[in-house]
Amino acid sequence: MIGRPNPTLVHYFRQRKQAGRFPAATKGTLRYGRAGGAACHHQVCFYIRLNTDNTHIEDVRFQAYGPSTTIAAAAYAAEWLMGQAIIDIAQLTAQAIAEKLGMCTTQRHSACLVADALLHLH
Amino acid sequence: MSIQRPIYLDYMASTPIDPRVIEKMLAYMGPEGHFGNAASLSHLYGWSASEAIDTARQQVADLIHAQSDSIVFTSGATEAINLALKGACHFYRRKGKHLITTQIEHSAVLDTLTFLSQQGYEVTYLKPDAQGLIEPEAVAAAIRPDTVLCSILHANNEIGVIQDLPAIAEQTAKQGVLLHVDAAQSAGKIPLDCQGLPIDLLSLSGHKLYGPKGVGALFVRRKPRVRLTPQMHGGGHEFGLRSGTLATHQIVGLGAACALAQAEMKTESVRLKRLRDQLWQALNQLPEIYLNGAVEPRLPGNLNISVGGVDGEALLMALQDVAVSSGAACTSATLAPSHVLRALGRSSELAYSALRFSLGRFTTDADIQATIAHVTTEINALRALSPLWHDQT
Repeated sequence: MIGRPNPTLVHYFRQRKQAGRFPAATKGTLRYGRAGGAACHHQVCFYIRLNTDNTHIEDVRFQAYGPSTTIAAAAYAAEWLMGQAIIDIAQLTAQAIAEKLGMCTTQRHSACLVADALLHLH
Repeated sequence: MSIQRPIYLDYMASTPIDPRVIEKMLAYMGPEGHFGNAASLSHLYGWSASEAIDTARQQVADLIHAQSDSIVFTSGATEAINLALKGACHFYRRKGKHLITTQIEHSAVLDTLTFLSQQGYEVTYLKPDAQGLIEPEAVAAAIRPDTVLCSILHANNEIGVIQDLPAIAEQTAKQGVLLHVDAAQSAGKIPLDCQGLPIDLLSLSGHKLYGPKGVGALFVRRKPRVRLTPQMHGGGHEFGLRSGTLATHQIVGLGAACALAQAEMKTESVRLKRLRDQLWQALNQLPEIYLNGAVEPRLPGNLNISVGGVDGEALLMALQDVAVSSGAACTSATLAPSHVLRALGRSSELAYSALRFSLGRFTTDADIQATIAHVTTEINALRALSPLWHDQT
């Protein structure tokens, strides 16, 4: 943490309402995306439940390890994804996340990591 | 509406000025006070300032058991270190160009030595053991015929581990090498004895011992005399070693802070150790909490831990009600893992997850209880969020 954190980052860092995973018995089509790992000190995982037509996102969970920027970016993405059409996920780019959270250049790797995890949803 | 401030547990970064010190300082600032230039020896204003400087010089000397004429006032420990290292290297340049230090010094020493290495000096950096201690024999083994000086951080600013100064000083004195001690963290917290030990140079800082920022001191041994080339010219103040009008109020503050620290050291270190141990015992109940550095010898108010499964920066952000510092050196927006913890052999993951708690004069029992509750809650919350912790448990 370098200097006084910006309020948007703090807001999403503290927002944990979508934190965790779905219970094992969750029904429906589930998607999973992950990026990063222990070696790079950042990891984010997204768990997405689709509607019955498999066109829209009905529910989202996330897990994150890393600095506050990574946790905030993951929480923001989880919130943004709710209700989105699957084909629109690509609109949530690293640049869009970084701009929304007011990240400086050296914090943008967190946004890239989150965008990368969403690119790898399967 | 007043905003509740976080509990302050970052006393190794800086301390507030003790109100008793502020009171002393105020008498040397305003138009009704002793605001004169200590070098103006022709009138009452100058005499009063000069006498106050003499008193402060004696108070600093008493704290480290030194003669008062061996104390040189500076703008802080960084300047004192620069004067000690550059000044000695320049004066004794004909003796050689080899220096010894450790891998776990403060950047004030490391950066000054980097500068000197660019001037042709060769520096040996001694590696500590896993507890953060430097073997005195390693110091002896590193000494060469062309070694000019050895610089040792007495108490480490991150992990609080205290080096075996008597044994190290014995080795350097035996082989005729100057010893500089960076005592910025230890002065005022544990006893120092510049008369009893063959220490040649010792730096300290005002704001680490409840004095003001912007003032520090360098002890320069008189007998046998250690010579330095001054780094600041213009007026010949401070025995010709540090020119510049003396900041009377700052120096009075440093002196008063040293006197208080000396008077209260014994009882305060017992109190701080009790509080620190309470904090450690409570946090150590959580899984995967690692103490960084030796349990003893360690500064009584220091606790440095690594928290498995949690990033240190995220934990700092979560701990908005407690002002602590990451064990990492903030060199950019991406925290670099602490060079001290890496030198101790900590994995980068644990080095990234380090937290330094430093307790001080105004820390209360209630502060520690609230900190234990808050830190425990936030560690558990971040671990619950972490996929790595989830996979591991």
